[in-house]
Amino acid sequence: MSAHILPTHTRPAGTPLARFFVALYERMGVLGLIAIAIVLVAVLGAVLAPVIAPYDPTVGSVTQRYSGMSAAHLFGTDQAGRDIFSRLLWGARSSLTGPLIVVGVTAVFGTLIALVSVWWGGLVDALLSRLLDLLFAFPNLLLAVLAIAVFGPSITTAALALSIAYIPYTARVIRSTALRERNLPYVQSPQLQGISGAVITVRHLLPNIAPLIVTGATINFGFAMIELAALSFLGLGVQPPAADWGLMVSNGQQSLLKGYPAESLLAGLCIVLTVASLGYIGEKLGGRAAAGRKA
Amino acid sequence: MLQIDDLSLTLAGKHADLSILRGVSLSVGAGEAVGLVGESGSGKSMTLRSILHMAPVNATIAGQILLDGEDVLGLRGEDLRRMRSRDVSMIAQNPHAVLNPVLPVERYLVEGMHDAQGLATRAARVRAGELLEQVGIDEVDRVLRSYPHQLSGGMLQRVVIAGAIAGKPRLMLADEPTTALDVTTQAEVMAILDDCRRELGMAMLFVTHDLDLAAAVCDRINVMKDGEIVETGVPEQLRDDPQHPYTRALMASRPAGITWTSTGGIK
Amino acid sequence: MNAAAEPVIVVDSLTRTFHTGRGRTVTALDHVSVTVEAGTCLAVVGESGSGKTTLARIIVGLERADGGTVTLAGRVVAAKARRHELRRRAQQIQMVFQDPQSSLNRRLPVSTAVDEVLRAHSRLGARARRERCAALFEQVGLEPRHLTARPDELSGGQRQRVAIARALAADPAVIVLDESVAALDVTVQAQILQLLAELRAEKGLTYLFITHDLSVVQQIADHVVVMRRGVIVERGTTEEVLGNPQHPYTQLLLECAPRPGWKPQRGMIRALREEIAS
Repeated sequence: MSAHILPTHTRPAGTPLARFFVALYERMGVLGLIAIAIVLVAVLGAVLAPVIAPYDPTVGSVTQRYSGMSAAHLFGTDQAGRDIFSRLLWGARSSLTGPLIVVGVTAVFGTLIALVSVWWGGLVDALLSRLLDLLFAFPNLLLAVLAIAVFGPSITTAALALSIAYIPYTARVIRSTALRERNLPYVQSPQLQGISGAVITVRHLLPNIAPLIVTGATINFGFAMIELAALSFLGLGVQPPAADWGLMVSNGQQSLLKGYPAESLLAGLCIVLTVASLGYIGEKLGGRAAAGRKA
Repeated sequence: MLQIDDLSLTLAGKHADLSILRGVSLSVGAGEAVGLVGESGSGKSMTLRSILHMAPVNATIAGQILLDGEDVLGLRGEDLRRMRSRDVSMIAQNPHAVLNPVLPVERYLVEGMHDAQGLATRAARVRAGELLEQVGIDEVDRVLRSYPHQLSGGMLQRVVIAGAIAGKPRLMLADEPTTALDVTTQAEVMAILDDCRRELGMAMLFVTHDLDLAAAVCDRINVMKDGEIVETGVPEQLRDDPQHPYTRALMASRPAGITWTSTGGIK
Repeated sequence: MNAAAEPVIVVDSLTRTFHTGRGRTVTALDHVSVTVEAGTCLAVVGESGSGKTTLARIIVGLERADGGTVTLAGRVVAAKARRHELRRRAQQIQMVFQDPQSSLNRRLPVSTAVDEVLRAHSRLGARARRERCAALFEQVGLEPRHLTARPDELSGGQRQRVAIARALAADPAVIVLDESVAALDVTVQAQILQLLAELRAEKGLTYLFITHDLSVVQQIADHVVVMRRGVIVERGTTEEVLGNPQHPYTQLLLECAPRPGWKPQRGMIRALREEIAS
């Protein structure tokens, strides 16, 4: 729309860093910034756990069971006398890497399947679609439980199994968008020049569906975190005595009944906050992606 | 009856505000058809939307819109509803977006008459049939029973016109009502719209990008560019003696010496 | 134009049927034959559903035909285009699409669209391609600063100019224009049509112009083909067809086209429709 621009306020001056934050604020809003901060804290906690965790997360002392909040134990200790704060920090590692594996594997294979099926179309598309339908038929957790039954319980098995369960969703969403883009002239024109499908896909299709992939990944991250926590809770994911938020929720159950809710509540809070934050960030990015498509 | 005075509209943007309308003034007399012609981004649609309070939420509006002396921009609640349902009707560009896709056409017409004009459902049904005949639909029963996706764009736009004239409003607002249609359908729908309007003595504000189309059905035409009205006149005057350079450019971009006048090959 | 002109496009008895589901079919093209002579502009006129766009898409290789042949510069092109075949075809024939909005990759500078074509069809080095790009931009009336612009920084008319530059980059003999000015404002339309006319005169290009707009036909075409529901109902020179239309459908199209002093006539439209039906 050709309209007249009235310069009411100009771009903010200042250091590049300040400008970055202003831009981030304009894009994400206050809640978005809070969400980003929460995720950053979780990531930093995981990375710096060896440095900042005051205690070994797997070693407790029987004399220190259920000590309340104190200077020595910020969030108290669990039924084995282990420092809850340290366990939360170390727990962030598996609680974040698990979903990261899921999201990474899902995004790569989901995108690959979607693009191959959109580009070749016809029989390839039909076959891949049926394959995805087949995977759809299995509930996510059931698939994961099956895989764990075969390969033994570990966070990697659980994450990979969950990835396979997530691929159909991701592939399908990306496929429908890619299909629409594929029939637009900016894709068809290079096709008419006899340029190879692989080049067109990488140069034209992929960048234009990238925002969708990123958004999907952020939202999947939250789902994966909850489902992996559930698997750990069931004893099928991370194995004790290792620290993991899902495992802590489950461990804390007995303590909860005995009147010591700290462990379950705090671990649960970590999960909820991270998932909600990522969901919000994903939503904001999604809005942007949609706007980008319109422009 | 419609009087727009010095209407300005500004959209709040992130870095700068966009001035969409800048002091637009125009009038539509009772029973008069007035064209608002401009290219994309000229603000012609936004002018029309402002009348029905359909401007975007981030818009700031200044100026005055009077409908029979009543301040339209100040209307709220029940008064606004009355104005929208009784006094003014609107025909938009895409009829598919107007009709609910999961309901048959009859429901659209009956609902409008029942809810807005308080007509009994049974009476509204009969009236719906009459209206469709009025807009030149032959198979009235079939169309009434059809769902929007079963009808062509031209047929659907006639249904929308039928709905728009149902309450015999005094003013009809038409926003590019034939732009999405094929040329032959456009001519037919335009002729129907024009006939209905004349029969009922309704006034019309007709927004279009097509100067010739506006000239065919309007008594007066406003030419709009970049949020301002640059010229107003009767169609013949704009054609034969355009004053503003932009009007001249508009006229010049369609070849005037078109070889066909009338086809004549009709028995 | 030139009486001894060679036909560059010969479309013979092209047929294409689409399946619309539930066993229903639509015949987009029903034994359509068209010849375009070198250096001329043929307009294919019709309303939606006439099959005009399908015809264009088959000729450039975006769509396959069920039957019939397309001959480009004396060589019959394959019904189902493979990649190397498309490449060869692209050096003869290029296309300018309708929608300037989606015609360019919105994430890349617009010159990459032109560069891509140069890379596919020439052996120029990076520097030579940059120079060629700039020259092409100048040819279509764009400025050097537009080379690095993104699509959303350009107007619809400017984007369509880029699309024309892209089509020219392969140095084709023929350009297929699929409603290439339909999405533009009339003043911009006139400028683009002017540009196309100049380019044609300068390079001896041949155009196949798909359009619904008789005013566009009149401004640019030498010959006209009128299509309705997959069938050609009338053909001839622009003066013949627009000045003395024979088929009632052509008469209807002319009757319905807005023009100065025109009024839509319900009675006449109805009479012509009945005549077409009979």
